Amino acid sequence: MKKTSRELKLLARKMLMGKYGISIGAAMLISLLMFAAVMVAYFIMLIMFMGVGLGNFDTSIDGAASVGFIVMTVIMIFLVIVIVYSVQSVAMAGLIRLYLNMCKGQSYGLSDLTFGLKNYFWKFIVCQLLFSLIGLAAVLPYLISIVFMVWMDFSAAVVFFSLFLYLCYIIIFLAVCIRYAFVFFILVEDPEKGVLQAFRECSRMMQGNKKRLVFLCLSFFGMLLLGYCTFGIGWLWVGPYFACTLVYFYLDIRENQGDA
Amino acid sequence: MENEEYNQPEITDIPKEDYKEPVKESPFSIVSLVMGILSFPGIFCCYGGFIFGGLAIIFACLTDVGDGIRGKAKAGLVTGIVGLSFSFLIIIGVIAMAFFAEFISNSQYIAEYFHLAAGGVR
Repeated sequence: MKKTSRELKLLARKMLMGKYGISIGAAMLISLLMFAAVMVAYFIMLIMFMGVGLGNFDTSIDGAASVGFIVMTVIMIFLVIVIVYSVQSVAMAGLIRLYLNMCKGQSYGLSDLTFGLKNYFWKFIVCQLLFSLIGLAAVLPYLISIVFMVWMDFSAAVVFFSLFLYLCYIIIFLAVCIRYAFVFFILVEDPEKGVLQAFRECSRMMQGNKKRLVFLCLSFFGMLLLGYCTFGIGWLWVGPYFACTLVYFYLDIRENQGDA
Repeated sequence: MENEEYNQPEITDIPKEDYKEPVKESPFSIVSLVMGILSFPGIFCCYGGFIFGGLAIIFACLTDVGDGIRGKAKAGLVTGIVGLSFSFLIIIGVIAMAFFAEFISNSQYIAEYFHLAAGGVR
């Protein structure tokens, strides 16, 4: 019997009583790690920019920047994205492991945050890379349309077409995120599985459960708004609540799959 | 003996069906109530009403572990909603006042006040 959103949220609230401290601590550690990763990435970018400045690239304001400068900028942006997303994916695996252990009633601790590093970290990075590539493929038409929009001096038809392409990107990316929402959970539960195997399994698992996931996420809309009202302070408590609810949803799907 | 003369009341057992375990109150209910109370003075302190009111509502919702929002958490929820609502009303009132400043009496003074408050030069 599939559990309703209300039941899943009740389970999450019951489980989290007395455990908000470690949840918030883990989230803050992850945020610090992400901040450090972003700083390192920007530091590398700054050094490379300084190198360009000391070099002989033509960066005059009047003329167009040289091809080399553009290529260097693209490479640096790509490097920043790769560093940040890699750290994010490995950290996310650790956080998911912590919440899975908490929700299953197993022993848990902050050491769970290093799970991603110790267990095939490259799989989580590849997962994140695949998501990024899908996102890039979905957004590319919109980005090209922006170039056309600027080139054609913002003509009405091109602006509307750009908006339409942006809407398509949002719909496609949301559909992909919902379909493959639990890829990381599958890999964290069994790191021996392959990345593509996890994607296929997630797709199979989410058949008949996509609407439930959408309604579950929409039910947190009020809490999200309250978090905005409190300038993000409320999210320290709403974040673990949402994460645990998702974990219970995942465990519920697993349980129903097992029964079936 | 002394005790034999002392009329001791009969001790009757409390029927099991009437006995209820005292409900353990979550610390979040107290926090919710405190945040809700703080939201009232917060209404007059720029964004205080939003922050404290929002936190009071969040904490009150998190205390519900199956038996609904009760006691101090309910009080915190109500005060949080009141504080948040009043903060919204005040913000809307201030924006409306600034927008319609030209159409009310002494409007030039009020318009000049808002212009100076926004960093303008006389």
